[in-house]
Amino acid sequence: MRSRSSLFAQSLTGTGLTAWVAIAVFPFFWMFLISFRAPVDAFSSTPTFFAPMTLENFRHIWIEDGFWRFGINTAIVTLSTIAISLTIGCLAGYALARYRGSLGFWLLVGALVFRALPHVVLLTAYKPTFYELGIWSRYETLIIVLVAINQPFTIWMLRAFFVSIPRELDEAAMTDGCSRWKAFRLVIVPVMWPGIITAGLFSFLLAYNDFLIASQLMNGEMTTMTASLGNYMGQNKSMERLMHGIAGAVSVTIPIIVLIFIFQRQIVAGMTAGAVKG
Amino acid sequence: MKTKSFLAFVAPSVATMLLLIALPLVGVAYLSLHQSHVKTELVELTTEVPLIGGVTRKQTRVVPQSVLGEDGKPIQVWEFVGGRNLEKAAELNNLAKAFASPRGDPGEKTYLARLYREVTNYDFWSALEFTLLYTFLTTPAILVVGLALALAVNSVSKRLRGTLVFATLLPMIVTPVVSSLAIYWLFLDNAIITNFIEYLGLGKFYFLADKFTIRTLIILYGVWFAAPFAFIILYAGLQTMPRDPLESAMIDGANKWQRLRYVIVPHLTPLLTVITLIHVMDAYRVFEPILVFNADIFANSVQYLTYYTLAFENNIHKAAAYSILTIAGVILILVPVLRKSFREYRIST
Amino acid sequence: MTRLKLLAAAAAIFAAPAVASAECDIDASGEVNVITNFFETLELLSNVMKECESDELKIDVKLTTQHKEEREQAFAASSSPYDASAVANSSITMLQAKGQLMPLNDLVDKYRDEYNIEDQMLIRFGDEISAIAFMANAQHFYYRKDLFEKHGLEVPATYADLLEAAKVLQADESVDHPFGAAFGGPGNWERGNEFVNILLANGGELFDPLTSEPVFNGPQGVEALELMGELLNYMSPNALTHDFGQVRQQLQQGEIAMAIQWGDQAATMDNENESIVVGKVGFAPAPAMTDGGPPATTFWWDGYVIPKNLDGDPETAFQVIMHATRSEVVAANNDITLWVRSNYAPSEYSKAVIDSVMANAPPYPMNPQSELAHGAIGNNIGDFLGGLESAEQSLADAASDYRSAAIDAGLITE
Repeated sequence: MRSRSSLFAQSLTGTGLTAWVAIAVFPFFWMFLISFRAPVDAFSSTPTFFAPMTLENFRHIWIEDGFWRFGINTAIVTLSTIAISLTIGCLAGYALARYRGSLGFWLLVGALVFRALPHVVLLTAYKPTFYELGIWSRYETLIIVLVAINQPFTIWMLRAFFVSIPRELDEAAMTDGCSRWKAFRLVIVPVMWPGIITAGLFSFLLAYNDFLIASQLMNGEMTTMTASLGNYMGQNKSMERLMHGIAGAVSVTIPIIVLIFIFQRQIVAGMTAGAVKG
Repeated sequence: MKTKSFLAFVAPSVATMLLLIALPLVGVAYLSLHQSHVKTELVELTTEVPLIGGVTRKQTRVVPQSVLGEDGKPIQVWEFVGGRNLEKAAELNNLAKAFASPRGDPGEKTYLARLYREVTNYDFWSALEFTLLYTFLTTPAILVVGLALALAVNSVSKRLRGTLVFATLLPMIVTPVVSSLAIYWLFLDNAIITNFIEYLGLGKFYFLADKFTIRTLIILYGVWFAAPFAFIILYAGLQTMPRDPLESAMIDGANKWQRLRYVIVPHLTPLLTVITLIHVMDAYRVFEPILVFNADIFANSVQYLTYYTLAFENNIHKAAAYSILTIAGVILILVPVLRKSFREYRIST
Repeated sequence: MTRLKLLAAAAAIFAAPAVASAECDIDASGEVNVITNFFETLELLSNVMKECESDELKIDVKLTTQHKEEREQAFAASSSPYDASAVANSSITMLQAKGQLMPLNDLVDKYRDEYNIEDQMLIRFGDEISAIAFMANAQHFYYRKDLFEKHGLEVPATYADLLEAAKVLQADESVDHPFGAAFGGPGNWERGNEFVNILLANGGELFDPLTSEPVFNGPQGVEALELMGELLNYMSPNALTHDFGQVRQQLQQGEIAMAIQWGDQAATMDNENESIVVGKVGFAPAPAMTDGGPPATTFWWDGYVIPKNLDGDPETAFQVIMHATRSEVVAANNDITLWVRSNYAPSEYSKAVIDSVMANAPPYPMNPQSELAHGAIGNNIGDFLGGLESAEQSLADAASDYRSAAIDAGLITE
C-alpha cells in the first residue's frame, strides 16, 4: 500500500520536474538554436529543429560591429558597481543589523519605497543635470547611479546576513579594546564572505542586466553590451540585424550561465539568510 | 550600537540614495505639480519638403511657432497647476462622469457591467486593472509553483539536484527583455508552439488575438519568470528544516498532505512572507512583457503607461504624476506587510 | 591605453563601409556627437561620419531605438550633449515649433559648392532651413504576382478593389491570410499611421488649423476606421500586435498575399537570406479611397538637424553631416534606400514610390498637432479594432486624448 503510493508520488514528481525543466529551458534552447541560422530559417513558417547552421550572426556582431568594445564597458561598469555596492552596502547592512533604534527601520522602509520609483522617470531627472555638469556618459556616472539603484536591495540583503552573525562576536572584540570599526573589519568581515559573495552576485545580475539606464546615460561607444542589445532586439527594420541581436543575446547569456553554475551554492545560502531573517 | 557610529556606517549608502533617488524623487513630485510648454502662436508658413527624384512639394499653412522673448529666446511657460496632473493622470473627471451615467452599451445591461466596461476603458484604470490582476494572480501562483518545485527537487537524489537548481534558475537570471522575447517568439503566428498545437490536430491557435489569451500568456510569463525566485528561497528554507517534527509527525501517522499542511508550511511561513513582499513590489512594476508582447490594448500596466507617456508623448509632467501614483499604489499594497515587518524588526534587533 | 586604441582602430577597419572612401578633410577639433534611430541607412551614414575622425576630432554616433525620447529631452535641456540628430517629418515638428533647431541657412550658403548641396535636400519652414534631408520613404502596396496571375486578379486601384481581391484570395490555401498591414507596433504608432494614410486619402483632416481642435473624428474618420475594421477580417487574427517588421516577415515567408509596407523594404523581398518568395512579389502604389483619388499613403523624409543648445561646434557638426550625405555616398550605395539626391538612380524597387508621387500622394502633414493627434489615434482606435467599442466611440476618445495633450503642449488654450 505504502510503497505503491510512494511509487506514484515519485513518478508524479519525476514527470512534474521534467515538464518544468522543459518549460524553463526550452525558450532559451530555441533562441540558442536559431542564433545559428539565417533569418529565412530562423523565423520560417514551419519551424523545424534541423536547419542549415551558420556562424554568420556571431561573426557579424562580434567582428564587424565590434561588440567586444561594449564588453569592455560592461566589465568596467559591472565590476566597479559590485565593488562599491558591496563596500558601502556592508557598512550600512552591518550598522542596520546592530543598531536598536527605530531610525534603522525607517531607513529600510525608505529604501523599499525608493525601489518602487520607475527608472524611466529617474532618468528624466538625471539627464538634464548630468548634461549641465558635463558628467553625462562617463563610467563614474553610470557606476554611481547603478550603485544607488542597487542599494535598497543590497542593504536589505546584507543586513539579514549580519543579523545572523551572533552579536557576541563583535561585542567580545570590542571589550578586548577594538573600536567598532576595527571589530567590523577584523572580526565580522572574515566570517561574512558567503553573504558578500551572494549579495555580489545579485549586484552583478542587476548591473549586468540593466538595459534602460546604461542605454540613456551613455553615449554610443560608451554603452554596455545589454544596452546595445536592446537596440538590436527592439528594431523591426532589418531581419538580419535582429538575428545579430539574437546572437548577441546568446553571447551575453553565456557568462551568466557559467557564473550561476559556479555560484549555485552561495546563492542558495544567501537566499536562506536573506529570507529567514529579512 | 550608538547612534553616532550608526550614522557614520550608513552614511555612504544613505548619501548615494539621497542624492540619486530621494532628490530626484522630490524633483518628480515637483514636476507633477507643474506644467510647462514653449509659448507658441499660429503663423502662416510655407514649408517645402522633398518627395523623391528631385520633386518637392510646397505647402502653405498656419503652424504654431515659438514666441521669442526679449532675450531672443523662445518663451518657456512654467506654471503651477497643483493637483491637475494627478487628476488628469488618474482621469478623475472621466471617472465622475462614468459613475453618473456609464456609457450605454447594447451588450451590457446592468449598471455595474457598463460602469466596469467604461472605467477600464480609461488608460490609467485599464492599466491599473491589469497591473492588479497580474500582481494578485502571479503572487499565489509563484508561491504554489515555487513550493512544489522546492519539494520536488528536495526529494530527488543529491546528484541530480545541482542540475535541476541550475535549470530552474534560468528564467530568472536572463535579462527580462531577452527572456520575454524568447517566450514571445514561441507564440507568433507560425511559431514553433503554434505549429505544434496545429500538428497535434487542435487547430490553428492565435495567441495574440484577444484579451483573454494575451493576458493569460503574460501572466504565465510572470509565473515562469518569478517562480524560480520563490523556488530558490523555499528550497533553501527546506534545507534548514529540523528533522524532529517531521519524524514525530510520521510516527503519529500523518500522511504526506498532513505533513505538508501542518509541519512544512508553518516552518516556511516567514519565507512565504518575504517572497510575497518582494514579488508584489516587482509585479506591480511589470513592464517588459507588456512592451515586448506589444499588446497594450488588451493588457497594459502602470509602469508601461509611464514609459509610454515619456517616450511617445514626451509629457514629463504627466509621467511624473503616474510615478507618484505608482509609489502611492506600492505603499498602499505594502502597508500590511510593512506593519508585520516592523514588529519583526523590533524583535530581531 | 595605447593598446586599447590600437584595438579600436582595428575595429574601425572592420567596420568600414562599402563606399568609395573619399578622404574626409574636416579641419576641426573637439567632439561631434550624433543621436539617430537604428536602421540600415543610418548605420551606413554613421560609418561614413566616422571617416572624419582624427586625433583632434572625435565622432560618436549613437544609434538607438530610444532616439526620440532622448533627443527631445536633450534638446530641451540647457545644454545638449548631442550636436546633431536624425529626424523625420513628424519628429521634427515639435522641435521646430519650440524653436529648438538651429537655422542652417548660413552654413548651407557657405558649403553649398563644396558639398554640392541640392535644393531638394533642404527642409524649409518659411525662409529658415531647419534640416538636411537624405532619404524619402512612403508606404505602398506589395502583392504576390504569382497568386494574382493564378486567380486572374488585377492590382487594386481602390480599397474596394482590394477587399474584392481579398475575398478571392481568402480561398487560396497556399497563403494563411490574404492581407497584412502594421496594425500594431511600438507605442501603437504604426496603427495610427495606417489610419492617417486612409483618412487623408478619404478627404479627411486631422485637426482644424486655425483652432487646433480635432476633426479626425468626423464622418471621413469613421469611414476610414471602419475600413480598417473590414481589412482586419482578411488579416491574421494576431494583426493588432504586428508591426511592419512582422508584416514584412509574413510576406517573406509566403504567409500573406498582399500588404501595405514601407517602400524602402521592397528589396528585402528578393533577399534569399530572408525570403522564400524571391521574384514573386510585385509593387504598386497604395490603393486609393475613391476612383482616381490619391493613393492612401503619405510621403516621409529623413534628415539631420542641429539643435541650438549643442555643446559642440555647429559648423563641424554640419560638415560631418554633409560629408556623410554627399553624392559619392549615394552613388556607391544606390539601392540601399530611396535617396533624395538627384544622382540617385531609381530601380524597380522604387518604381511604386515614384508612381505614388505621380498619383499625387501628399507629404505627411508637418505640424506638431499632427504628431499629437497621430499618437492619440493610434492609442485609442485599437479598442474598436479589438472589438471592444464602436468606431465613433474610439475616435471620440482619441479626440479627447488629443485635446488633453494639445492643452499640455500649449497648443490649445482651455
